[in-house]
Amino acid sequence: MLKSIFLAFALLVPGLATGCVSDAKDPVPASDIVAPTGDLSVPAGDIVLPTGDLVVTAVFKDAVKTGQNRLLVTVKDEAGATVTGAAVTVDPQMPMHGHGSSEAPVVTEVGDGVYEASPVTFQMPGAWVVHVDAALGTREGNIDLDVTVP
Amino acid sequence: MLRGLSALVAMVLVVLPPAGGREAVAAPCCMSATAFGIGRLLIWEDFAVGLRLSWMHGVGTWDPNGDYLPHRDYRDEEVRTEVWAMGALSRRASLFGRLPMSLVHRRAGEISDTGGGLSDVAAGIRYELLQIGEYVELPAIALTFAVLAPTGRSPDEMRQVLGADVTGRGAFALSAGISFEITRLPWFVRLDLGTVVPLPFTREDTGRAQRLGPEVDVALSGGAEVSSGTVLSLVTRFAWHAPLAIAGRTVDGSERVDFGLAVAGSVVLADHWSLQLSIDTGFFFSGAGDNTPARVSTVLGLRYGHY
Repeated sequence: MLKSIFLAFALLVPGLATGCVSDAKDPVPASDIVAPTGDLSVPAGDIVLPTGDLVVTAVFKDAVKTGQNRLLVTVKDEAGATVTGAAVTVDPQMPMHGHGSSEAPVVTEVGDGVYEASPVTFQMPGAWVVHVDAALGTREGNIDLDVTVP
Repeated sequence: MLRGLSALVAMVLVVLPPAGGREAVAAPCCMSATAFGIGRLLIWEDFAVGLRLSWMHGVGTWDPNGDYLPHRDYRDEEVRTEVWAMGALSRRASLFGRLPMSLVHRRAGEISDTGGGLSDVAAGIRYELLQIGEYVELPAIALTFAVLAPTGRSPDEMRQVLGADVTGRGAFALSAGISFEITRLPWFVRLDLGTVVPLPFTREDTGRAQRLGPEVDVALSGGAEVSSGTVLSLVTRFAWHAPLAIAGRTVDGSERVDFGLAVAGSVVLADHWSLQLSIDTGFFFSGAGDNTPARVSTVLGLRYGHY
């Protein structure tokens, strides 16, 4: 439906433009307007409307330790293409004690769909869960990492 | 005999775990004063006051699978001072209160933090259903009820990277316990059962309601007067913490289990005064704990009983 709306708008806009600036261009000949018929699916390689969730993966840059760590987060779409400009948040929590980290990680985009979160602070050893969320427009994705900190 | 009985009771006072398990077991970031286990007054005492000095050394941790992980490049030390008092309301009832202070030092790699302050205070009442010697064939039975107040710094309020400034649970808690004690001089055996139920609270960082899981504690102790005024004993303990709940949903993997063993001694120094010493340890191998820190604790106590 979204594709139909886009196509209709694509056909409509030139007409509107013509109406707003009637002396800027010659009117589109009626014979050039082709009403959409048949299969309206967009051919591969042409306009692709973003849909679906984001795929989030994460790995620690070094061996996990008590204290400060660095986490590399990769965000891709369902087709496997890297996603840039996403809003990524990282939230470490310690379930057995019911508290979070002593520091809030700062997330920086380092390029090619990769984001670095630092510091990811585990202030004590034990079992932690790191919640990673990514959002771009209406798409979002997340992952929970179970981490045992020695 | 009086000195022996005094030493026995004094030893019991320092050895037995406070309500809801050892203070040390309640998560490094998350310390709370507990209730039962402060002991009891001797029959002829009006009140008693005491000072306990504890040193807790972290050696490792158990993960949620029960695998034991010794600390690597991490140091966790805590010194805890506690002042307590107990006063008789009647022949069977007594009130008690505890005021703990903590000093914590942690180091992880190049990061080092030291912090501390007032921990969670507790106050309660002890009631002797059956007093020692009241019925020869029956054990003494006592009930304790207490309230723990979040006067310590909660995890939400921590400011240090390693959380060494956290001294409290962050929530009110209610505790209850029952003790059974049989004394056949020079021997005694005691069983303590207790529970601590934290009340729900709202976390400042997430804004969501959270409730720490209730805990159940069991301690079995036995000992004897080895010489006039000197008592030695052995204590085995078990603690289970139910999973915590956030926004009404149970958090998987947050259940905790802890086992331990302690040896203790008590010496009557003079009339009214006694000294106690205990060493407590867990069993540092896989399967002997679950989702909990591993520590060795040493406690030195001084008690004054007024009569």
